Amino acid sequence: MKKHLKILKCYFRLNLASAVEYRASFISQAFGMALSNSTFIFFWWIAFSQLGGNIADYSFLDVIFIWAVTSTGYGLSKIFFANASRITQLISTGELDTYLLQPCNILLSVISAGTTLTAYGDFCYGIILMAIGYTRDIYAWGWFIVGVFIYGILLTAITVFTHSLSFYMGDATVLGALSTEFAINFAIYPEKIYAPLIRTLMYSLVPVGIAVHIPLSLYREFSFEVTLAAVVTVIGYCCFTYWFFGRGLKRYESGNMIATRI
Amino acid sequence: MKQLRKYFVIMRVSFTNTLTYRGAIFAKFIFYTLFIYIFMSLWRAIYQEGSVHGYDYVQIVWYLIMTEFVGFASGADIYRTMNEEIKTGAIAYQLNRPTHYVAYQYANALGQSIVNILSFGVLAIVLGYVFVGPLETFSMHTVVPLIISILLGITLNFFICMLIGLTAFYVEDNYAFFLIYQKATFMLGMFLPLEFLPGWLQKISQNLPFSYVHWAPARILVDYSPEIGLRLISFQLIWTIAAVILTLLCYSTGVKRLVVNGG
Repeated sequence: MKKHLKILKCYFRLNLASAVEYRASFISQAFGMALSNSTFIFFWWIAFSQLGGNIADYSFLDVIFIWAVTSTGYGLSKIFFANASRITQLISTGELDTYLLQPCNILLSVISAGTTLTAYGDFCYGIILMAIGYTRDIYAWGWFIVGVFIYGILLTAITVFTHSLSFYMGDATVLGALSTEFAINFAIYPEKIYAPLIRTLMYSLVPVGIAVHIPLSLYREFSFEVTLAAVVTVIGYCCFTYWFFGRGLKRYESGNMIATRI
Repeated sequence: MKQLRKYFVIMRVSFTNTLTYRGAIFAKFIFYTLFIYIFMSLWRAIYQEGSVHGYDYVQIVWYLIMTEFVGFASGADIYRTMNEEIKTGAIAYQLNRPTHYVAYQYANALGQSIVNILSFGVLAIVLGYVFVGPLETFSMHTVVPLIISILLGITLNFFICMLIGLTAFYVEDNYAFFLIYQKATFMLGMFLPLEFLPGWLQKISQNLPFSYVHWAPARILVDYSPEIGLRLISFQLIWTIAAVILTLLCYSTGVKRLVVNGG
């Protein structure tokens, strides 16, 4: 565990150093993303000011909460594990070979080998939203932090799972992109707007409901049973994804590509 | 006429190329359907809470179908193309061709857009009928102004994106400009009709080009009258001409600054 954390820290340091090397680019992309996200809150502000009440049982403050968790959680995932969305490409081009030779956990090494500059904007945006909406509500901040960690981990697991399908059925680029879209859109709108079938998906195949809507409901009213069920589901989903990737890796046929990682 | 013929050939090649990658079109169909479904669900929830002035539920769903249609039909990702070509120096290969670079890119994008307009057009109509049924306010008089407005919306979007891409001649990173433009169009017409905005913002939005990419064709679709059609198309035309002139100016000054090392 200690070794893995050390690798993660090392990758983070290198990725950040590489991002900061192009400072203007880094700042403008992060700032642009935060500004871009704020337009969605503008949308909600208009929608709520038109109606003056709740939308699908969510108040404007509730929407701020789910947006904050999703944005910071997404940022967390893409800052540390952006390479997860490149798994299909690594498999199809044979670049995965480079990771197989390294003396550390292959999945961790693959997913943490890249970062996304705009993710820093997403990460900060959620915190700014919380600071505006829940300034001194420590209880809300607590559930926010829990939600962010779970969303970050689950988004990464969902991305790994769908891209690992490439081991089994060929190019899964579209499925990977689609799962990310689902993971974002299931999280940033009130869950009740969706049909029951979609809501089932939100708590099974793409379980981001656990990361966003459950922390909100637990903030409103705590339930030990719900918390336990959520924790078990998250752990189960991550373990399954890890196993699924490992099983797929056994089917991987190495190419003859020669690559250098500096 | 001979000058135009070569651009027609470029457009035809681009049209054929786009048709070849049918898998990519079907993948976009999934995303288009997903977005429409999400927004339809959202607006259904909003309309259950109360009425929103000016638009009924069926109109707002058709409105969203049209705004998303313009987005998906826009075809070429010209911003990224420009950015890549300028930063990598690949633009040098294009400059040697016996075509004007801007016109070449437009012809190329138009070829892709025609395929998208036809394919997504069919999907849009099917989704509209399946999700909410026919649009009562639509009549055959709307067809011609609607087509003109869609084409102008796509062209305006293309030239604004190209203009943002061309800023790569001047700045190290222009992604923030693109993000801001993208979200300005989202908020000023794509997700929300301008009529929903506060009065002061409506006035500002109606004087900005962003609203004329998505809002104008969607507004014409859901509630057409000759006066509204003429006003919106006139504004679209003015902004499109302005965007073309600015793009040509930006290109002609920017290309003089281009330095390509080896390759």
